[in-house]
Amino acid sequence: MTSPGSQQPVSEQQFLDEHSLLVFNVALRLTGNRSDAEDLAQDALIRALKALPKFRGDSKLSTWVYTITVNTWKNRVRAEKSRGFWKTISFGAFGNQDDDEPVYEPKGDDAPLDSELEKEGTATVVQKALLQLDADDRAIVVLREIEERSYGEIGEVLGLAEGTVKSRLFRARAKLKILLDKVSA
Amino acid sequence: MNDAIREKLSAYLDGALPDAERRAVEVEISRSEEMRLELEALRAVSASVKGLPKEPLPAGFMARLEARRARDAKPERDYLILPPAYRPLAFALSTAVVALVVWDKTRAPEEMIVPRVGWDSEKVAVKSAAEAPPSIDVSGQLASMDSAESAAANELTASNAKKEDAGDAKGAVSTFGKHLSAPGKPLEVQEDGPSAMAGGAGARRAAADGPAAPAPASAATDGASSGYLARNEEERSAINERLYKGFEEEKKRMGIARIMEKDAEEDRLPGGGREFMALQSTPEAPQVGRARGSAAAVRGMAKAKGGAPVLKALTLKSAEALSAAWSAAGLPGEPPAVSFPDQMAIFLAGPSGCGITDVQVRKKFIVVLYKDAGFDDPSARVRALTASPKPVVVKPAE
Repeated sequence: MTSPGSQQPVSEQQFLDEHSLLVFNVALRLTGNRSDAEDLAQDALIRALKALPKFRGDSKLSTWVYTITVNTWKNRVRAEKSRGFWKTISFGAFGNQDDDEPVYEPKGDDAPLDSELEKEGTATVVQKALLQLDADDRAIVVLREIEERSYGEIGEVLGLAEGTVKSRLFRARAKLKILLDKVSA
Repeated sequence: MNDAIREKLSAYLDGALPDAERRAVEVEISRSEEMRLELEALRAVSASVKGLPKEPLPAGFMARLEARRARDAKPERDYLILPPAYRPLAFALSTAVVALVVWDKTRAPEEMIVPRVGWDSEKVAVKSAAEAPPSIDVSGQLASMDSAESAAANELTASNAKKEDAGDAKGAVSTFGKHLSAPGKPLEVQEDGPSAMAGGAGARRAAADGPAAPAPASAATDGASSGYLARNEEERSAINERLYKGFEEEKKRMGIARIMEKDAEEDRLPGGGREFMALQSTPEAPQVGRARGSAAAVRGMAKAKGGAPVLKALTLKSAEALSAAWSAAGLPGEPPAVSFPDQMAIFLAGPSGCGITDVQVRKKFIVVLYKDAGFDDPSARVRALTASPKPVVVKPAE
């Protein structure tokens, strides 16, 4: 196993040291609660460790890790959706009126982030608004705004063209703006 | 402002526009207040998401990750319940169980009319219904024999005689002869009806006068036709219980110490039944059984009318017994001469015209082949054989 560019071998421990936190925070914003985030992060890391010997360095290791994390999450979402765990949720003012896409409901035992750490209303609202985006849009927003990945890298992670990433990112931002405006009003 | 321009604003915010486009957008923004406001709104949304805090790994995250890795490292089963190698076996077993249940539910109930053979031998041998020829119905005979046995027993015990004279026929009539089979086997049993009871009483009185006394004409005529077959498990169980009680009493009266299975594997009965031997503990018992068994049975046969022929081969070991059987059957003249005690007589009890066609002495039992009609000479009912304790089986001649 090698890291891209340098072609230096990466040990499992080194991999975990460098990427565990990154994976956990992406998972946290995708799922919206810590227990689901930990479960998803561990799942993604285990998959990554298993696949690490086959990593050829065609892309940045971080991009590869994002790809595994997002795909693991999307697989779970799909599985839960097929099991009927999905349902439309309403956060009061955050009605899902202009989007028929099913939205993710946090199912972990712990309280959502807003109730503990994010005392500021904005953080609460933003997290909840994020959860109302469909899977690809949410992933795009998280990778762009939080992880600050480029359009090209996001496209690589999600298997989308850069133009698609650009338009979907704009659409997701517009949707978030509407949701935030509703709360402010 | 259309979506294409707003999309460019979003990309401009991210610095993702080519230089030319970026400069064009900047010009537009400087000219349009609306675009500037739109850009600010997008920037605010972006900033709010960027403002979500990064969190440290939860305490124990790495330890739990390692534990999970260790768990996941165990080889996973690629089957749910049974390894693939066991599937044919499981399939075969389940098929066998289903087949057994279907067979059990669909097979016809067994006809379990149990013949009693060699009853008056010194060693009484009993075998299962599998050996009995299907055409032979021994119930009438058995009813009369049982009645006669009770009467004979009365000779030995005065108290029993009194009880029977008082009309307590049901309790006194033995049912031993109808259930002789391998213990524990379910039985189909023919019971005596009221007329058989009456006939039995008459037979008892006749037997009390002496072994050779002929029976009244009305005695034991309906024993066969008045019975019924146990049709369900409950009924069968009740009858079995009653019969086994009678079996024990009969054993006591007959002086039978115990009944043991014959041990010869190679000489199993052709029908698959097991053969049993009764070991007697008193010397009187066989005499009693022989004398009254012969007379009563013959009476029963002689009086059977209208029903199916009822046949039994009696093993007689004395001239008196033979004479008694002969006269009880209402046969004219004297029985053929038999050299007792070196020889014994096989006497076929049944309707007039019946006769023995052949007697086969096999290793463990004697087979008497008969025809139930066509013999004018009554001496055809008697065959002299070298004395033998082997049980006797009757079969219709081919």
